[in-house]
Amino acid sequence: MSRFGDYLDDRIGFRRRMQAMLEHPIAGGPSWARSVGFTLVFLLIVLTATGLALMTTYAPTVEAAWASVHFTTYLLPHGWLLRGLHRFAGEAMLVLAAAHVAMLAMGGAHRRPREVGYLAAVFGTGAIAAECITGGLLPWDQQGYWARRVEIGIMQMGPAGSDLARLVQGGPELGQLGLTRMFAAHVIVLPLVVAALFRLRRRSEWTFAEKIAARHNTGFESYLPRQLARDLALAASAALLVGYMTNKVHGPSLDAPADPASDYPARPEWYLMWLYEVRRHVHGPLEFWGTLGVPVLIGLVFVALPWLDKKAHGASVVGIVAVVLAAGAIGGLTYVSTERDRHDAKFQKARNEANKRATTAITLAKKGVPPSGPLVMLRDDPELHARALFTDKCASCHVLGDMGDKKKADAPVLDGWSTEAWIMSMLHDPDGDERFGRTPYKGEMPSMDVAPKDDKGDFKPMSKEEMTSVAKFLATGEGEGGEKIIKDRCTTCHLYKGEGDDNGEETAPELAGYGTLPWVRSQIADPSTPATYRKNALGKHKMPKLDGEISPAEIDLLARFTLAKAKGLPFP
Amino acid sequence: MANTDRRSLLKVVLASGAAALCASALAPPIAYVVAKRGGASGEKWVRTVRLDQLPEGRPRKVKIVTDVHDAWKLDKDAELGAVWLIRNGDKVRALSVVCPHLGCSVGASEGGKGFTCPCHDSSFTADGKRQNGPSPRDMDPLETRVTDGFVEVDFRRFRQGTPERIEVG
Repeated sequence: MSRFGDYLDDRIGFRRRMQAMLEHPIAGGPSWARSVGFTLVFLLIVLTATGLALMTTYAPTVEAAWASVHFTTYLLPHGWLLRGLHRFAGEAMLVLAAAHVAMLAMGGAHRRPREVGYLAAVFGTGAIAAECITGGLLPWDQQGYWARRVEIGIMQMGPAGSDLARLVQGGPELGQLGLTRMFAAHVIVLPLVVAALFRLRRRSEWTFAEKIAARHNTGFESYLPRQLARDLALAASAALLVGYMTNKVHGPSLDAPADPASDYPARPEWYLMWLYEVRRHVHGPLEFWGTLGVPVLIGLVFVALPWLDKKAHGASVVGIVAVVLAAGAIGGLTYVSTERDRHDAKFQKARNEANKRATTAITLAKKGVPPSGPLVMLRDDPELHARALFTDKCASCHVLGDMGDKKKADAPVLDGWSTEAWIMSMLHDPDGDERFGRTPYKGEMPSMDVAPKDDKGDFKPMSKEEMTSVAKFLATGEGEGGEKIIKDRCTTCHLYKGEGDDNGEETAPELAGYGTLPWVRSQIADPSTPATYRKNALGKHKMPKLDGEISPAEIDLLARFTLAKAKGLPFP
Repeated sequence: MANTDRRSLLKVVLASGAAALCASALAPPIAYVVAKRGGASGEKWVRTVRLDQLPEGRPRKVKIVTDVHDAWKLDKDAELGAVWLIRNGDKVRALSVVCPHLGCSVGASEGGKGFTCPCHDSSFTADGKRQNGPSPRDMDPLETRVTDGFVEVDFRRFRQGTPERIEVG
């Protein structure tokens, strides 16, 4: 080993540099604060390694990004671990870098001749924040997409904002070119910037320490062993924390695939919530200052600190004031914002919807995602598509399962519709709340076994047996007795196989095939044909026709879905 | 003396040469990255729903389904966005769902009167007039026309965050 070391040293002279590093003088002696720099470098190494590993399973296109992140997280062994380590190491780095700047500012480490190193830390923190922000877009999920869309909107408010937004997005809208650009920035441009600033900072600190050591010659410990021990201990704690967080949440989550046409209650990541809160309170002409001006101003104060601080030695009052104000504002605003969202029922409802969609998308994608992307996967899934159609076209009047609002419904509840039990209750009490009671059909159909109020004694109640055979026949098509009763008693108002109701002007529907798929399909497409409710259906009874509004395939899907759900059968 | 002059002149010349060399290497990629790209603006009529499918007075959100270009991709019949349609007899008013504030999707307010943005709580009247919240202008109206019984919308997009309405291409 030592001979190989000699051989290498002879050619690349590494021992000299290693020695210089280990024996480098530490100004002011070893300290924990100084270990933060080492930990940041350690986290950068973790991020580079996990990032490179993640790049082997990531694809930066609008169609593939979400699917590849899903694949990484849920299908590849340990993919969640890699993603988790990468995410939490990144966030740890952001927090630590900000804390580092705060400590430097308060301790006076921004003063001449250390200001270049201090500025490297300030800009480095900015670059790390940019890493977190660009990284958040890469899964191309709702969370990342909408947060970035809003942030780009904020950017557009500033001077030359439109041009800057174009530069970042590669066009007028956030799409493929924007994803490619943010990917490039995240994996190569920003890491190089961060590494270069780290190096600049170390050069500045070393030059400073060497100068002081040359002047005083005493009171200087070398880096080895006490500072190095502290560095390793702090880095190990950071590693443990990142590992703990990753394990605790089992890797970071994935929201539903980005959908530019959706309603999404956009919120930024936790570390930007304070900015979000500012934005909620300042409107009108102050808007620019609230959303862009204040954060830029805070940044500028920290950048200008070396020139704002007139004191030459000791703790920096200006620095302490700046840090306390910034930390207090950021902490307070974050708290206020998170609390309000937690108690905002409307937001929670929207968030629940979004979570449901995410869970569905994640479950579906485990079977594979088509090359056209996860949105097409979601759109073409029969159950989701049918649910969306029902919610959009039917649920403002009807209720079916968890769709529709019972309080607002003015059309029959469809749960159990056309089953034997449902027909029985229809024959007995058609104006029950869940049937015609809240609809324009109220009072149109008489009960078969309860005499009407204006009965003059000529009401003939239908017997229980008769009702059962009618219900059985309508629900299953079985039993000739039921069919006979229908032909005898029901066709005064109803049609049966196109016959009955002599003048054809009644409103009661065709009973042949009632509750079958063709009947339902016909009713959805156009309730005003003789196949179901006839021409009166559209007028005062106002069930709209969907023929022409949605495709025949969608009508068929909606019919199959509604029938299956009403009867409690599996779908599809 | 003349020798030092010549050396410093040489330095300047060589340094400028090196700078020019670097610039010639950097200029093409920078020009490439900052070049303005993106589609042309202008009218884009998109067919939506049939007029008789719109309820009187009550706003309805309809999707804008059309050919969507994104970089090298052409997605036929894809969802480009959505608009709110409000029918008043034979006239239809269209409002873009994109919030003029920061671009979230504006939804119908609870209770059905007017619109609210889920992101920063900007609210608008049923006519799209700015009511509360941070939005700098009213909701963006879009031109409509009825052709063969179908409502067509001239779908455009506007810059966010500005009091004036500036179209983006």
